[in-house]
Amino acid sequence: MKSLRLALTFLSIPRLFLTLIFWPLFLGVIFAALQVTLSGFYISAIDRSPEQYREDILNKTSSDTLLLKTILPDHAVAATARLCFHDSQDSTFTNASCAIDNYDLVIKMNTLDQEVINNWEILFSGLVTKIHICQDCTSAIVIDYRQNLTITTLRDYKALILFYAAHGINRHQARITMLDAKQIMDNFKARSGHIYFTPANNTQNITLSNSETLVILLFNTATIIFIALWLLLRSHRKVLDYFAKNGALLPLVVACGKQTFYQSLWVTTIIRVLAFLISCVPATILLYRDVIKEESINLSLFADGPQLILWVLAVSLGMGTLTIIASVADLKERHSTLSPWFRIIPLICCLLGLALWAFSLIIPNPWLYYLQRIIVATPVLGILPVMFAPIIATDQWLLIVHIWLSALVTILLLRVNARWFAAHLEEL
Amino acid sequence: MSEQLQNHLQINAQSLEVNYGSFQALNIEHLAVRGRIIALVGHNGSGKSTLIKTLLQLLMPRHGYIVSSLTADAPGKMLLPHEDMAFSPEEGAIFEDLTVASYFQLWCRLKRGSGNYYKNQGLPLLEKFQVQNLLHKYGRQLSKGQRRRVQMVVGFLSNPRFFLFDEPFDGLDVEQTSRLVQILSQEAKQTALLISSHRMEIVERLADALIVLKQGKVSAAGTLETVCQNLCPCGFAINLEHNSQSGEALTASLREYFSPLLISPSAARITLYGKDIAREKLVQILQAQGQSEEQIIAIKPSLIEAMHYHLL
Repeated sequence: MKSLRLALTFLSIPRLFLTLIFWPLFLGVIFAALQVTLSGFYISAIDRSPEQYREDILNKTSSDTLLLKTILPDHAVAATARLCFHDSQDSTFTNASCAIDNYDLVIKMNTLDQEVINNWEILFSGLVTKIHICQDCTSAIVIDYRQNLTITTLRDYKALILFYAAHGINRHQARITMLDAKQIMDNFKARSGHIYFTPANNTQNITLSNSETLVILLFNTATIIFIALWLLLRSHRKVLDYFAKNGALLPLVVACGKQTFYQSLWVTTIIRVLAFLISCVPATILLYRDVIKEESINLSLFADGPQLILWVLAVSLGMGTLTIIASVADLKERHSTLSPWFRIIPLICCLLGLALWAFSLIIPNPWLYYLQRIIVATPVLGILPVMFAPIIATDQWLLIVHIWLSALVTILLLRVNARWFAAHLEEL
Repeated sequence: MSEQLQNHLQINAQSLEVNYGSFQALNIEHLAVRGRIIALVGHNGSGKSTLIKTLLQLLMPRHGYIVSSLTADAPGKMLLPHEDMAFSPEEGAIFEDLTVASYFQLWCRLKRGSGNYYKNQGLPLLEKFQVQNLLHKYGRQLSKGQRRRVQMVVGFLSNPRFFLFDEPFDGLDVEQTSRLVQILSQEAKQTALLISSHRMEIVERLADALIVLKQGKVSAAGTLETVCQNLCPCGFAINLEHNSQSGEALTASLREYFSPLLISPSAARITLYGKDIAREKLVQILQAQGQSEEQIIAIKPSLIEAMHYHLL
């Protein structure tokens, strides 16, 4: 209770409130928005059948057209726009039926360019009845080619909506063309059935079917864990740095008692991580629920509780070790000009581990088979292969070894770090 | 025994060793000192701050112990940092981005459970330290003297029984120092004080007991008189009868016979302080220089002279 009161008092300091609460909330909201937007868009794109996709596009097109009709109820529309040439320029249709209405398209040009005219004819078919080609005529929508610089003039908001409706409807047309390419890819997938990759040094098959969705879910989960851990570690430093910078650290520790002070640091840390999780986890759960509902996607990991717990533990502890190493290196070497490098050394180790693991996976050699397993079991080096364990079907016992070793390294680091911290408290 | 004596602070240490890694910062075999205002003196790196942090339990001894208690308390009752002590560090504890009022509020919420304590019960303290006009100023806008005053209010707001100061007079001018000495003298009636300082002239005025540290060890501890006596037991003044040339010759002879020795020669008088100055030898030297025995007067060294001799 005393430490909670102390933590809340810390949070009443504006600077600490900003860094400890506002920033994680902001980060969480941004993360959730990005996740829902990008992952949601990608997943929905790869999950939708071509028929659904086509239907969506056509619905959108018709809703655009409906919008247009609502705004311009008297606007006459023809399936194919009529071309009207004025000003004696090859005046094929210079007759009464070519009178210029306000929302007709006018193209101004000095010399006729048939290719340009044909393009506009295609783009505006279904949206206008007439397209006028002239030197001096005018309407609410004018495209002027008479100078070196092409100028489009839209005279009112209705003209603006009409012009961009053409843009939108044609964008849908382009999507339908892309859909054909997707159809080919989907056919390829459908005809391939379940795709398994069996590298020389892997005891189990790696399922590649629908793995894109799983990769996204794994990446999102791992990112949330990583950000939460990073916020957790930085929280201690933020509070300590703030008080140390103002010379109040030692008086405060004396006033509150060492134990209460450190407990309050943990309370602020928990509040900070909770702020982040509260702002991003609900959106993540909603996204996952939508995805998992799709039966076509192989998400056995998220359906199997113990397996999920094992994976979350492995990723949490692995990343915990990683962040502690980075934080300790940063703290101990903060006076060094190379200090930013100490933060990324663990990251370089991760990438090195991934490269070695990939190498050991694809090159058939009995020694590399053992190397691959050693890498997965080793903290830091094996974190990226562990992150994608559900896809590459990593043996569970390797995850368990990774968990144990990561826990051991974390405890050792914390003990050594705590001793160092106690001895250098006044230096902070 | 008077009321004042009954409320003395006691600091006791036994076989105390405090290390920073492999570096031994403190090594105190035995320490027992008592007083209302205890001063902690020694050169830079002698272990003053380490001793304070160990007393505050911010540093854990590798071996042995150091405890503080008040003589008025039940025997064996030790002072606890978060209940009985306040600490004012050397660099000052002022939040640059908070107003003084917010700082007081923060502290009162921590120690008193109510942010408004300083406006009510704490008001006399604010008046005593003349900080009411600083309430709306930010920490970064305060002068060094103002920072010290604010910091002391913060410390005293928690009503400590034992207040520890690390170099409180550093960077203060004569007027500010004098005012601070006055305030501390008054506060010492209610609160036991431990003051670490290089300023011997102030320590001599303020403290009634001393701990002298040198390279992590206690060189002397006790009352001012005891400490001066331990550090520098002998002191003589020689009034010169002849010209300055004879004074220089005498000084050279004294240096030759009594080394190490703190000698302060002036035009009319030579003072010398040290541990083993035999009066008979001094007489012989004087007579050899044509001076008489009557010129020698025994004097007591002040703390400044004792410390100068000690640090030779």
